[in-house]
Amino acid sequence: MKNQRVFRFVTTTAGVLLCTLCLSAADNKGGKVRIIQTNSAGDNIHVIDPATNKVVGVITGIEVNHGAAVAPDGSRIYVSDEAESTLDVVDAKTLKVTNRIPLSGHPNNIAVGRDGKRVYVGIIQEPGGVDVIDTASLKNVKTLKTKGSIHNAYVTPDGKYVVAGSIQGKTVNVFDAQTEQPAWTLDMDLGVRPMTFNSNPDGSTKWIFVQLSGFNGFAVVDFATRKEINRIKNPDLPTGKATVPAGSDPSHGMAVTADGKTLVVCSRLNNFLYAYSLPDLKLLGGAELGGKGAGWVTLTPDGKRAYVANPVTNDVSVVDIASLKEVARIPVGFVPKRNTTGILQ
Amino acid sequence: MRAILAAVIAVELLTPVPIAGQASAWTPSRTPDGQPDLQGVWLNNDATPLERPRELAGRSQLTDAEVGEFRRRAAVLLADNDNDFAAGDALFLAVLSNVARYKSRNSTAGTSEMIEREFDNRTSLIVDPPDGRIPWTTAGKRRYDADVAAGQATAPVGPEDLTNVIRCLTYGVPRLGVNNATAAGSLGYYLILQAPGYVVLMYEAIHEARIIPLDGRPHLPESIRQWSGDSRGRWEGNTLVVETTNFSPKGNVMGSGEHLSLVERFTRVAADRIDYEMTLADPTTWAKPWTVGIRLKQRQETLYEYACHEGNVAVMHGVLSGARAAEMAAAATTGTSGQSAAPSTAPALDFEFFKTKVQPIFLAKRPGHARCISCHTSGTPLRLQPLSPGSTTWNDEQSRKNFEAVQRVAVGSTRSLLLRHPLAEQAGGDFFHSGGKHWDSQDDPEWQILKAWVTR
Repeated sequence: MKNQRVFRFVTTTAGVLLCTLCLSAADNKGGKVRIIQTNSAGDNIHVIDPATNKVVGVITGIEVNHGAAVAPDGSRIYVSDEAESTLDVVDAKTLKVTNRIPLSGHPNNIAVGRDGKRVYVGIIQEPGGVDVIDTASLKNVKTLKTKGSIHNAYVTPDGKYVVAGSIQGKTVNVFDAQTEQPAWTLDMDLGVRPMTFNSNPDGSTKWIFVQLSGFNGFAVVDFATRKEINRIKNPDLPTGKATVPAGSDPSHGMAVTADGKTLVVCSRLNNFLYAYSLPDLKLLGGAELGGKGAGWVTLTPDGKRAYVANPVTNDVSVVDIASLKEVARIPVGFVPKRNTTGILQ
Repeated sequence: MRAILAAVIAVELLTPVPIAGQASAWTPSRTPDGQPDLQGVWLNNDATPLERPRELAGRSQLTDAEVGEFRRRAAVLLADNDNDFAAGDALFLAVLSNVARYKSRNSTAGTSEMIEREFDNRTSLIVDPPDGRIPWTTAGKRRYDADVAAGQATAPVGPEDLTNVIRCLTYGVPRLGVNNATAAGSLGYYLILQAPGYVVLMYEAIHEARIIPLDGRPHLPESIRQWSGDSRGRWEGNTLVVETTNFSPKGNVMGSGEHLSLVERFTRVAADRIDYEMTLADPTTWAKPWTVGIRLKQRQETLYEYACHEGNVAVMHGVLSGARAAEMAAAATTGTSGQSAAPSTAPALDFEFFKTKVQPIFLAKRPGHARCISCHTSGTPLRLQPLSPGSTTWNDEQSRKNFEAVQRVAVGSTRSLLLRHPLAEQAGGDFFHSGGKHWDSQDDPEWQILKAWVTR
C-alpha cells in the first residue's frame, strides 16, 4: 500500500500527467520495476529488468497471451489468455499461474483500476464488451456493454473512467469507474486501436490519443468536449527507406511520459518510434528501430526509456527518449504483443 | 494487335552514349506550357540483356567486331521462322551462345512475330553496380525465383497461382518483367503525352497508363497501395524525374513488391531518342539500389489495342485445364462429384493423408510456441473446428470440416499460404504470420509433411 500512497502524492501535488502504468521513481522503494512483455504466438510472458535490459523471469503456460497488467500493490500480474478465453492470475513472486477466470468471450487487452479492486478486460468476440473482474473474489462480476466488440481497455490516469475502443464498432466507449455505468460514447470514422491519455494540472483527463485502423498516426480527442480536435499523421519515410508491410496496424502503440511533456508513438509502417511534444503536438523526432513490427510501447517510470514490442523480429527495442536512439534489443518470445510497466513485490 | 513488323536487325552501330542526366548538347523543344517536349511514341528495342551474362563478366563493352558478329548471328536466327520467338534477353543470350537453332518451351510463336532489336556495345542494361548484376538479397532472389517458377508452372490450380503477367493484371512498373521479357521488343512501346501539370506515360502492353502529377503534391498515404505505385514528377533541367512509391504487396518487380522505391529519369538527348534511366531500391530484396539505362527510340507509329485482359477465357480455360482434369480424375476414383467434395479451385488433396499426417501438426506443441489450434479455432480466416470437451483430437466429421477449411489455404501448391505463412522468411516463407514462424527450415519434418500433402 505504500506504493499507492506515494503515487497519489505525486499525481496530486506535482500535477504530473501519468499514463496508466507510468509510475514515479519514488514508487520503486520496496519493489522492482519490471517490463512485462506478452508473446501472442507463444506460451510464455517475459519479465524484463529495465536496469539491466535482461530477461529476469518467464511466466509459462499461457498460450496466446495478449494483455498484461500489474496489480498496484505488485502482488499479481494479470494476463488475458486468448487460447482459453480466461483472465489468468499470476503470483508476482513465483511467476506461477494461480487462477484462470472464465471470461464472457475471447479477450484482447486489459487494464487494472487505480485501487486494484477491478481488472477490466476487453472482449473482442461478438457481441463484445468489457468484463469486470473483482480481484478480491477473482470472479467475473459483470460485462459492460459497448458499441462494438472491444480491442483495448484502459483506465484513465485519474482512475475515474474506464475507456474501451472498438475496431469493428469504430467507437470510444467511456464508463464511470465508480458506478460502472456508461458515461459517453464517441463514434470515429475508423476502427479504434490503442489509446493513451494526458491530464490537466488537476489530474483530470485532458485528451485521449486514439490510433485508428489503417492510419499511420493518431487522433486527439478532447475529453471534456468529447470531440476529436486534431489528427496527426506520422512523417513519411524518406525515399529509399522501406516500409514494414505487416506486424500490426500502421501505427499501433502509444504512451505519455511521466512528466506529461512527451507522447511516444509507434509506427510499424515506418519502423520508427516517434516523439511529439505536449501539449503542442510538435514532432520532436523519431528513433529508427532495429527490430521490426513496432506494435506496442511502454515506458520506464522516469520516462527516460521506451520499450517497443517488435512482433516480426521477436524482440523488444529499448529506446532512449532524449536522444531517440535504440540502445538495446532484447530477445523475447514469439510475436511479442503488449507490454506494460509495473513494480513487482 | 500490333502489326507484325519485319524482323530486321538494325544496321547502324550505336556508339556508347551517356545515359540520362549526363551531358547532351541537344536541346529539346518546349510544349506550350514550357515543359521540355518528350511527347510521342517511343520504343525500347535494346537487345542488350538486363544483367551482364556470366560469360562476359568484367566486360562492360563489346568490341565493334563482336557487335557486328552478334548482329550477323541474330539475322540468321530471325530469318528462319522455325526458330522460336526470343523474348527479352533471350535473343542476346542465343547469339552469345551461338546456337544454330533457338527453341523455348515458353514460346508460342516464331521469329516472324518479332520486331527489330538493336545491338550495341553494352553488355548489360544495368549500369550500376559496375558488374552489371542485380545485387540480390537471399530473400529477394528467392521471391524472384518463385515468381519465375510460377510463370512456368505446369498445372496451376487456380488463377491465384498464376503471375500478374499471365493473368493480364499488370506487367509492372517499371517495365522489366522476368529477364526483360515484358520490357524490350514488341512489348516495349510507350506513348508519352504532356499536359499542363502532368505527364502521361502509357504502355501499349497491356494498356496501362501512369498519370504523373508535376505539381509537387505529396504522395498518397502509405496505406494506399497501387499496382503501378504512386508517381510524382518534376523537372531537373531537361530531365523528367519521376519518383514512385506505394506499390502493392501483390506486385512483383524482379522480386520486389510493396517495398519498392523507384526513381526514373527521362532525358531527350536527340530528336529521336530518350535516355531512360531507372534506379530501383528495396533493402528487403536487393543489397543496394541498382540502376538500369534504356534507350527509347522514337517511332512514327501509333499504339494499338493490346488484347490482354484479366479473366481472358481462352487463357483461363487453357492454363487451368490440367488441374481441372486432375480433379475430375480424382473424383472418378473416389466416387464423388468433384464439385461437392471441395471448392472448385481446390486441388484434389488426400483426405486420409490430411487426417492422419497433417492434422496432428495443428495440435502439436512446439517449445515456446502456441499451438496452431490455439489461434485457429476463432478469429482467424483459417478456422479449425474446436476440439470436443475432453477430446485430444478431432472426430471424423470435424476432420472433414477441417479438411475443407485447410484446402483453401493449400491453393497454390508450394506457394500456398499453408506452406509459406508459418515458415521463416529466410527459409522461403512470407514476411509475417501473427501466429509466429514455426519452422526455420524447409527440411523440418513437419513442414515436409505439409509439402507432401499439397504436392501429392
